[in-house]
Amino acid sequence: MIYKVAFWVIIFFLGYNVYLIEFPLKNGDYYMLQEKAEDFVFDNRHYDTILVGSSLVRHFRNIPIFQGKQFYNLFLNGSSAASGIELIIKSGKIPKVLFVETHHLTKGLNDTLIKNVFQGYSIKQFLPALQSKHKFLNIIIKKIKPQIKKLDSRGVFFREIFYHHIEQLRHEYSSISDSLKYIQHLNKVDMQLQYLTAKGCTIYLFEVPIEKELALSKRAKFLRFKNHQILNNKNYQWIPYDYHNFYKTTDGIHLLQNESYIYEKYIEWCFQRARKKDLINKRRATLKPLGSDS
Amino acid sequence: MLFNSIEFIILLLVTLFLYYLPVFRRLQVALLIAASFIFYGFYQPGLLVLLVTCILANSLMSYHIHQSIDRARRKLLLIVSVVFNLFLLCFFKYGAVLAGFYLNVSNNHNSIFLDYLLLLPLPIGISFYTFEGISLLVDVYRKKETLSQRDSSNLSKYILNTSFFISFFPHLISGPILKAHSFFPQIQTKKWSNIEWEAVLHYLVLGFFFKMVVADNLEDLTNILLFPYFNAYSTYSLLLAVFGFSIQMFADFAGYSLIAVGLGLLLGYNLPQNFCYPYLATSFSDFWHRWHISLSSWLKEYVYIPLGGNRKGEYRTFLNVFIVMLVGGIWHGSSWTYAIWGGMHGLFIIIEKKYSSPAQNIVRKILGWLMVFIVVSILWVLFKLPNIHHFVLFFTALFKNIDKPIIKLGNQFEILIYSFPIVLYYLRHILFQHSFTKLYMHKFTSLRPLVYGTMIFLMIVNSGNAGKFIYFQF
Repeated sequence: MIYKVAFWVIIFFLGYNVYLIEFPLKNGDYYMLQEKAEDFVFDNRHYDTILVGSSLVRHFRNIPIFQGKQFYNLFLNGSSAASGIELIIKSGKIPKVLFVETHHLTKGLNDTLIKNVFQGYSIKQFLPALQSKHKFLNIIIKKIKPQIKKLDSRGVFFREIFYHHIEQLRHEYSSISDSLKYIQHLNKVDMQLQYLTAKGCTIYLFEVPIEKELALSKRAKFLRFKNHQILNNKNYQWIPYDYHNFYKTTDGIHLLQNESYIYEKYIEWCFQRARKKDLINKRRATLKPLGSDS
Repeated sequence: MLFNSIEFIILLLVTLFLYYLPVFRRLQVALLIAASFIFYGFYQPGLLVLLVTCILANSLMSYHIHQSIDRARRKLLLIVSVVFNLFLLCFFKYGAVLAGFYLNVSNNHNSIFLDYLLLLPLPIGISFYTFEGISLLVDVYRKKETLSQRDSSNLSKYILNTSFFISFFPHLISGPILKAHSFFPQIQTKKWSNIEWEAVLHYLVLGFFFKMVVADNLEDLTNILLFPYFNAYSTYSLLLAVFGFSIQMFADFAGYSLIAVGLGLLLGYNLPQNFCYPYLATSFSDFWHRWHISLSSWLKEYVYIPLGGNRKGEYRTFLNVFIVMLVGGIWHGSSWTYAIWGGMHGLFIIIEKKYSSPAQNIVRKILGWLMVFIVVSILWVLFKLPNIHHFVLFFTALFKNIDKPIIKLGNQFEILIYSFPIVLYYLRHILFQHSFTKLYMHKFTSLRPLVYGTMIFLMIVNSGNAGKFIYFQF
């Protein structure tokens, strides 16, 4: 009996691995943390530009710099950019340009996620069936289930939830708590970013706009101040917080899709300006100052 | 340690290897105690202090009860030791709630002791091992077969056996709750050749499959039952989520119990079955003969019968039933929702006893089954929403959202897919019960290796996020 059972397990397991190697799945818009993280770590590709952050940047894919095969949006729902940066460092997939969304940095590094993703790293690479994005039943469900077209249709149904969420956020943003812990998290992020810049990566940091009331709250101001104070290395480029526009959100912090597009345009503008400035500085540095020969 | 963790698999393999080595045969019990302590204290060694204290106290007290001839002294010892167990349970389980309640009522916010109580962690498995301690004490008091005559004079051996009875790792954290009189006679030398491999395979595969594939995957899918998310979903989606959570509860707890029984068999011990297809129950009393059987029978033997059972008239019987169910509810946790959950079950059993006769025809059986399943499933939501106000809001949403459109984005389809194995498990049982279909079903027994193979394959490639068992919190 036991041998027969073992026989079937081996047949199914090897067969499924062969199938996944022969017909690899395309990169998908994974919602679950580990699936998303493994999708990035194990896809055998290198990216020039990566965006790391929380669910706040989930739909950032509307401007040229956030499009194409050389770009990866490594958003991690409910986690901070620190986890995304750690995934980049540990997988060795260091990009030329890294965009870091700073909103949920208070959450620090998700150690469990990192441990789970890199546990049995080489085995998972060799046997893709062990990666959580390759859950057998989920793949079948995805094939059978009708595909979802528009996400924003949920807004109407979720109005009540969003209302509760905003209320919760108002309470949360009314006070500053765990400031020491937050400073520790930021110092760790600074170390991660220093490592990446040393490897030739250009860092762009930005804070996604949230509801004005929350953005101007005591807590948000404190976090913004600390972010700029600690992550102040001259190699990092800060995209300034956009105080000039009012952005609408679903639940207080997540931008509506069209608002997200407007904000992405703002990022693009800042990015191009920063690059131009950078180019000018580089040219200036190569020009010899007058009279230097004498 | 979790049964589905690498650490546990290593511990089990090492223990098994040493356990069945002929040179260690005389040390089998000591070896299992050591393994159980590692199992329990692996992540929080500090918890071992409480477990060892509980074991030693119960061992010494029960030994003295056993040795004492004076009836009054025996009774006094029993009362003191039962109170000790209940004190431990209440202190760690309800201390924080009572302290919070006191702080709300009074204006005394400076008490260090109350702050200490509020921060008190709940030691894992305490509800199970204190109940087993009480079982040991009562069984010894009642002179049930807990000790063989040869062991009764040897205190060190007695402590060893009681330590083993309480700490035996397959049941330590989430049961089944053992009774001393049925476990002690099993303590003897075990041999590798006596292992019933097919039964071990059956229980372990089924248990791990229920937990890792069904329950762990349903965990995230049923989160729409949480506050405030349920407000956004239609009645249909909510009912499906309730069904999914009901299946998750069964798969999680029955899965744990099946693993425990399988591990017990692997080590030569027969642990009691904790579940007998509870969702086939046609009445509430029937449900409690099928769900968490070890707790139900413990409550019956050590609470219901001592209260007078059904021997003191109809109304006293009803009161006893209600008390037992309330105790069962409170045993699950310090939140009021557990008390309501237990009380509601008690109330339904009383109504059933008073107004209903056992169902004879098939239509009444089906109606009874449907009603019990729906009520039981809705009451499980109290385990997901440990706040009465949220439960009331959920119930309102269940009726209010009837005309809300069904969101195609929802997880309805996934809930059905992941619940399907449990439906099949029940269906198989029903088909095996009837003589006609039984003959037909026997033709498929040769497919068992293929079925087990598929289940193990799914465990490898389709496990949900490894989470704690729901009953760990109790």
